Amino acid sequence: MADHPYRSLPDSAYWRRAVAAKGAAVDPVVGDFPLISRTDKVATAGSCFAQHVARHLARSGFNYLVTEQAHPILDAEVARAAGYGLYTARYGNIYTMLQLSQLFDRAYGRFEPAEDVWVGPDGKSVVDPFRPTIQPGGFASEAEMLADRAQHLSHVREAFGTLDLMVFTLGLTEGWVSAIDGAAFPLCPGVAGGSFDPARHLFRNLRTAEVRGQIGAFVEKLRAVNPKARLILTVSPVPLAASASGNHVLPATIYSKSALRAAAQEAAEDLDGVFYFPSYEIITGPQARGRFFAEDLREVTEDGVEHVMRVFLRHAAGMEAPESDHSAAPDDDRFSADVATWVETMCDEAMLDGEHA
Amino acid sequence: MPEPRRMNILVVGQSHVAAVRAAARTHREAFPDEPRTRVIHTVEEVHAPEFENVVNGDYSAATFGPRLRAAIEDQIARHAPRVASVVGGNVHNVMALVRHPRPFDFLLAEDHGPPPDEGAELIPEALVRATLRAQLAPDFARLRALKAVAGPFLHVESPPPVRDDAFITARAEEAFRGRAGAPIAAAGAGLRWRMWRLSSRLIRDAVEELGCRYLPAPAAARDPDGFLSLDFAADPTHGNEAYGELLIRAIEAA
Repeated sequence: MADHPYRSLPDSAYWRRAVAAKGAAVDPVVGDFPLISRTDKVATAGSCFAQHVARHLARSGFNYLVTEQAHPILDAEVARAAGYGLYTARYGNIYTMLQLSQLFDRAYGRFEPAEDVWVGPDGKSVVDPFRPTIQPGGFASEAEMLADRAQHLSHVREAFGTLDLMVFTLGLTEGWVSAIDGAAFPLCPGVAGGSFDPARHLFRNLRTAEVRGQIGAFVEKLRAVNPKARLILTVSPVPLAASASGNHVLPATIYSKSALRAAAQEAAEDLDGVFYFPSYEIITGPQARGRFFAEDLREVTEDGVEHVMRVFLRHAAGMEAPESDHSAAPDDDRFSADVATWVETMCDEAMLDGEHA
Repeated sequence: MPEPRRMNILVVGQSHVAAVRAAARTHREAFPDEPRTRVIHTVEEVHAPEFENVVNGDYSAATFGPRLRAAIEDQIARHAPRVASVVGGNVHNVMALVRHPRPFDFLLAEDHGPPPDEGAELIPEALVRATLRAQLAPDFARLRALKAVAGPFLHVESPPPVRDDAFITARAEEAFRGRAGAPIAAAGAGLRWRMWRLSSRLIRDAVEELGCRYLPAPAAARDPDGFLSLDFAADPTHGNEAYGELLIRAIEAA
């Protein structure tokens, strides 16, 4: 029998053995993946799925880096609602690589967007256009918002300057930017503050090459202030809540995730110290048969998140996270826990639906 | 010769009843035949338990306990007093009397007082307000419970902060000393002022939602900037007997 390259491939290369036979419990990580020590400072950022990653990292014994801590006088629930602890700093959801790159530039004083103050939906409060839902009810004044932003950006600098590893979850290719200087807004102006003006606000749907270029540019900037920094990229499995691309939201979602996935792959292959973790595949792959999506076919269930993090911890830390004993808890308890998790996950994207309510 | 008392008064509250009690006692001893001011301190052991229907820290359905209710009802039945509240009035002190190891401040829209301390971490007003509101839950419950027992009442604002840092530092109560550790220092006067103002706004809203009247702290006890004059301070957080006398006169005049 003639030899050929496929004869020597490991089981992981074969769908039947590696996927069909494993089902939803598949562990698709092979090859080079960074080991995280207990002392490595791990930072997180990204789209709403990244909140789950942050939550699990924080309670798994890692040195989860939080540079922007709520002041201890604040009530814990109040602080949580104001975005403290969701990520390493209080930047809220960062959906695109363009946003992350611009956050870096704003933090280091290299970019001062022209449109940097929004009036809140109530017509009185003040909103930070670059984290429009971070402050429930908005800020009381422009001075307060600007002071809070200055503090926030100092914590962002601290994070970029001290982290050992950053886990960034790519969420979207679609977004809105300023026609003046390209400043990327996490939410379309008018949704949670500001007012939409087609002359000032442009829709962008990033191409794969753009995202790849932005990853490279970000890594270069990050390494300039922190040469040891490593980056793990993931792609959020959460579909778009709405698409402004003119396409049906389903193909729009597939485009967006495909572009992000491809850019992440290329970056991981091209750049030292950049890795890809397949949370997207674990949740959305056919082996999961959709079981990791909630009834809305969008939110990821806690079961799905736990499986993703179990695989992550296995490879990043050599940890076997304990299986959750779901059978021990009544269904309603499990449901309540899932609901609580969803409620806590403040996903800015969901606000788009409210526009049509 | 002070003006004679015009009516019986019942003042319900916690630590701020002390100033009223002292003023009432002095006046009663001099003029035993005049109408009297009496006080009920809701957390005194004789009235315990103060609350019923507090579930896991949730005060939304709280009512006064039976002995406390009976004490208030008995006073009303026997003396037909004007009922006033000096409920609460210390949460803002817990948050902002002593300088926190992680110094903080906030900007207050309107009524902002002295400028924030340089170098203090600025916390958005809304977060401070939400935290205050959560910590004031027992005081809000006391106001609701008092309305349920006594009907509409007057609520008198808690004493303004004193301006003098040294007065606070030198006379800080043990509870606050233990809380902050040594060395102890007063929080900035601006922070003390803003926390008091913000707390007062929340209490005023709660009082007026109950259909009750809110009386500001007596102007005669305040310096030109609105702080409590040391002549009327018993300690860093409470008014003295002279302050209590002003409260009684304000309640009578309302």
